[in-house]
Amino acid sequence: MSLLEVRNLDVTYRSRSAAVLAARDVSFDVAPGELVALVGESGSGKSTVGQAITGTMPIAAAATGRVRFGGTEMLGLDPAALRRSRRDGIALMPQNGLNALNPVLTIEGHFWDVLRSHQRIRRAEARRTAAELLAKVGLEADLLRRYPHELSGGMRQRVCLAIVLSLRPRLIVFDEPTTALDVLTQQQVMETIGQLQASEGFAGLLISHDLGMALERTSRVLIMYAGRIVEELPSDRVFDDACHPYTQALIGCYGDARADEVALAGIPGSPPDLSLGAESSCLFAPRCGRAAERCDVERPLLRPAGSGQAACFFATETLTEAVHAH
Amino acid sequence: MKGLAMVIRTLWRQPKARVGLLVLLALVAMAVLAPLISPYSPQTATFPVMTGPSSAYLLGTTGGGQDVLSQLIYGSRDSLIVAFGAGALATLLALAVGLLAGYLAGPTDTVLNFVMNLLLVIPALPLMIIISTYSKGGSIWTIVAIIVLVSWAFGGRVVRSRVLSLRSLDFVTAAQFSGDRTGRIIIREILPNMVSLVAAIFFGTATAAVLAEAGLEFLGLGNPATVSWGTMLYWAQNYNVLAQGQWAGIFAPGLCIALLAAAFALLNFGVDELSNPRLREV
Amino acid sequence: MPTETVRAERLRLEAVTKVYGGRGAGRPGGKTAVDQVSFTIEPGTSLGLIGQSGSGKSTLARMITAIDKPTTGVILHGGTRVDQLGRRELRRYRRDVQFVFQDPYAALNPASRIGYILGRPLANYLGLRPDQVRPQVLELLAKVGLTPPEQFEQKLPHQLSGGQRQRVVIARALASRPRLIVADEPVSMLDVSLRAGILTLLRGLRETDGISLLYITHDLLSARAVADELVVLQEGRVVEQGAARQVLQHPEHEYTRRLIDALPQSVTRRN
Repeated sequence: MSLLEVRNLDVTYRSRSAAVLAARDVSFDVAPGELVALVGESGSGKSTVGQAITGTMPIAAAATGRVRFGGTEMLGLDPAALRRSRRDGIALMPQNGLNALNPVLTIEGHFWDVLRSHQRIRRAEARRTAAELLAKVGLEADLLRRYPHELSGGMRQRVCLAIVLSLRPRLIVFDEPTTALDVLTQQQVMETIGQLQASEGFAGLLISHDLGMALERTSRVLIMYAGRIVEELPSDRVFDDACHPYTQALIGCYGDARADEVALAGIPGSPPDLSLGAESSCLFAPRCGRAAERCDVERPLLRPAGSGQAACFFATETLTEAVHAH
Repeated sequence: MKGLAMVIRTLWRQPKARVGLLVLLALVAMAVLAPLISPYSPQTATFPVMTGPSSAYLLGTTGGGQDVLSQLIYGSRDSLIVAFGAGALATLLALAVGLLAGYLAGPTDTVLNFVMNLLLVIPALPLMIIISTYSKGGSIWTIVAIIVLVSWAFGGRVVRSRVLSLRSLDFVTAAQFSGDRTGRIIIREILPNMVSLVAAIFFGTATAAVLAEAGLEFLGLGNPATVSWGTMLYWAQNYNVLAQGQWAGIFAPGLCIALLAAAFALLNFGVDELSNPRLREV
Repeated sequence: MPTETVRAERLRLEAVTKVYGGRGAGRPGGKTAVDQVSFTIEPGTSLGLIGQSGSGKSTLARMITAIDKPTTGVILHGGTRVDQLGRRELRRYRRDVQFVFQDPYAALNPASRIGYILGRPLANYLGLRPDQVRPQVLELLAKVGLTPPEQFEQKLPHQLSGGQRQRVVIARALASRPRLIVADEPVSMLDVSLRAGILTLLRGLRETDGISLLYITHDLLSARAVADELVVLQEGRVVEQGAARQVLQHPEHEYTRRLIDALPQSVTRRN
């Protein structure tokens, strides 16, 4: 039984002049205790999906479809029920601690705020709980007296993680948790997340634009392009078994810094305009090395391919096969 | 000029701003065309005293025997002069001081900031009343000057903080690296990113100026011999027109003051679109 | 117009130190952001300055672009003392040493058209008259791959994508015919699929125009792809430097090893 079931999720942003279909027919599951990665570049719709799941979409966005969490339908939940669902439910870990934390509140103040909005609790007990949570993320209790700007970026992210943990979530949506951080700090934060996942048992949806980082601790990865999921496969099989041309192209953008020769590749062209309504073709075709006529008139559906699923008519070659063939 | 056309086009698209613009234009037309549309001269005081509205005097006459409608039409001139004059001068002063203080920083900023804070701390209305008491009987420009003195500092502080935050942005550093001189950077890099702020300061000051002028004149601190909406209220109060049943004498100028102030306030709503280039049609 | 090869100068830093607060180097109360940093960029080469946050790389960038002065130490560009520039010399220096910003969304004035933005350095440094400026603007746009240039000239920044904006930022840096370009994390805010294009462009300037490049980043992979030499900074000090390939294949310092270990493995295994 899946903890999170997303089916046919469509999200449209309406402005005065345009309607942008940011997420198109997105469907996936997350099992209890599973850490799944949602990877995509700008405009892929990954953040939109994260917002739809956590009920944090902006006013201009409208979602249709199903988002079932632990049996409850999350879309269209009334504000009171949504607020209650934040505890023991789905929690959102934000991208940038500096923006997410209130600059005029001490760290203790943040915990106090969150803890007492969901339960009756005394200040002293809240302080104890806060210290325990900080210890879980590897931080000292005397940080409680500090203000957000006094902490480093990595510490702020871990504080956010601790605050999220105070809600006892069953699923955490990590929205680009390490984007603003250095490589070494990234490693540290991801390690903390991994350890906590093992000890607390929450499930996770890791949203990221960095394929390399996203594969490190997750069990499965979903690749998004132009609002759709184009491939899904186990994280440890990505390099060997990815068969959607976009995934392969994305892998090709990375390189081994220790090799004798290092030449970076990109993907020519740019993502499509999402304000043109639902499409009847493959949106990656203009940039795809394997595109044929069929790709311009028919939209490929997600079908079993390789180790998972891929939405491509020609998803038969894996990367190694493609490299040998061409 | 292209900028001005763009400003007006943008304001026109917002429903609230459009209403404000139309009301303002109507009042401006009234002021400009006064000699043509006014039935009598506003100064002629030979009509029957304190009569109600009739076919000869559409809004009746004042306690001094003047035609209310004619006074109303000509009175718009003073109120508009004060609104635009004080609004424009206060905004320019706020811009000049705020830009210098914010961009140059250092000792210049310390001094200018202190001056602005000083003016903000002194209560505006009592200050206006005191100054007016000494300058009573001056021209309308005296009132404009008093209002400007009292109201520019608020806008100046707001401009200064905006400039401080703009100044640290990369594109300002980039302009320096491109070899632009300070003056050009202030005018071409900083200022265009403050259009909506400047417009908001202008409309806000204009609104306040209209009400301040009416207030000062109502208290008798203006020049009671001139004809303006505010002095109309002053004389109407003096002659106790309400008790006499000549309600139009108070109602008409009061309504016009409110309309003018509201027009500026409505225009302020349309200003947000000016600030975001993404929302403008190019 | 034929491309002239600009004769780049050597950039040399000798024992550069920057202390904030306190009362000078070594005195209590100050924060040492940069400590005795020395390195050289030979003319026409590219150097990757690797540093995480707090490493002092931004402080160094500010000193090399003459926004700040070092507390002690010497910065030389050719024969010019960058740390002692007078007003007129500063203007000259700005023409020779240009900067590419990290954030393509903040580096361009949202209220200015691309043509105007590119025209400024052309007018200021090359003394071009208005009618001479426009053809140069179009040439710059073409040079950074924004074609057809006429289309881009009239646009406002928000009408361009992140990658396109960054190309404009590079074009602006090229306008004054600089000898050295300092690029501070020029691709870290761009999508991964767009980075190669920008990096190829930067690297190519060496071959076509002989411009030296100081590439400042926390990302070892892109630095390896772009730079000939690497300098690794930790908390204001140089801990390792050498040829890029050498540093990555045979790191000597423990910090460098840690950085290399942190590189993602799962997408880079090669058979």
